[in-house]
Amino acid sequence: MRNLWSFKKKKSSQIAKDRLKILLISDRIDCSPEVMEMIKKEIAKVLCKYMQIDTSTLELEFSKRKINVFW
Amino acid sequence: MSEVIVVTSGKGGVGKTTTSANIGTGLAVLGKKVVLIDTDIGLRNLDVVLGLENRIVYNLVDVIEGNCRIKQALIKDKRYPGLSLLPSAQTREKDAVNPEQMKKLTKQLKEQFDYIILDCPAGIEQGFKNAIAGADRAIVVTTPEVSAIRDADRIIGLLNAYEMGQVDLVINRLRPEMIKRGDMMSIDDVVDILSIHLIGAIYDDENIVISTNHGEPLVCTDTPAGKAYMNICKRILGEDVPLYSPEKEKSIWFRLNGIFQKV
Repeated sequence: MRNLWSFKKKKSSQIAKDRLKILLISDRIDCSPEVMEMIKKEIAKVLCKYMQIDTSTLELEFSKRKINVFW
Repeated sequence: MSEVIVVTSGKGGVGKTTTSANIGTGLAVLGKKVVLIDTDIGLRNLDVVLGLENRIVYNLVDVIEGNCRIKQALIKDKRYPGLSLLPSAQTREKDAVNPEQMKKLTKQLKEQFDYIILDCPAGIEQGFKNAIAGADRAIVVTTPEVSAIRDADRIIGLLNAYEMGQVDLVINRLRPEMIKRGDMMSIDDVVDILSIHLIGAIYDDENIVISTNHGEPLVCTDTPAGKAYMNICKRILGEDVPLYSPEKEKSIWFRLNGIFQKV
């Protein structure tokens, strides 16, 4: 039972990495993760209006002066 | 050609002063003329880490304000020919110095020394701006923790904004057993997140505390941290040195041990 638990539990270093990745992006562009999520949703909405795309796989890559959109 | 290196981190307590002291001492041991400058005005520490606290007469602010000549304020370390310290002022504020004055000072020191190492205060305010003003390159110190890495990323962004020539990373206080367990980010994880050039990795070592207790840098000693710091110094001089890892050394020892047991 304990083994199963530790198998399911994410390593804390992985948690740290995941948190940092989001944190640093929002620090670099000076906008919170919530706002980033809102930007993503609205971009998805706009794209759907004009193109046939699957928004479930939509990914945004933020950097300081560039946003890449993948789907 | 002389070089001005600033040691910075953003977050406090990650080992900037220890790193400055050991890099400065290491470069002096390797035959360079080095001056260490403590730029943390109001909270000076580099003097005690180096064990030179009893020899301070004049300080950085005295030099800037013209109360003394540079030579009078420099403390020569008798143990390491080539190593000098310019201590900080303990009873003054950060705004006693401005970036222009620091630029002028480092320029003057470049005539006498091969390496000018600036120990930067924590934070991103006046003290940070003073410390980086005259620097040609920067060493960012971090530990494998979320808070320290976040601050390091911010500092790297600022250094780029100020057009710092070269920015290298030192990861301090790594604990191999925790990394193995998956409870600490590894060297690769941190480098991957910060995506800057790694110039050294230092494993957590009790000897650091002992060396600070004595006021003697451990860069020339046969300790894991001492060797790691010496490797950083060699890399600063342009040598291509592989990353020191206590794990590897251990495994070689175990292998040798195994051979002897078989025989």
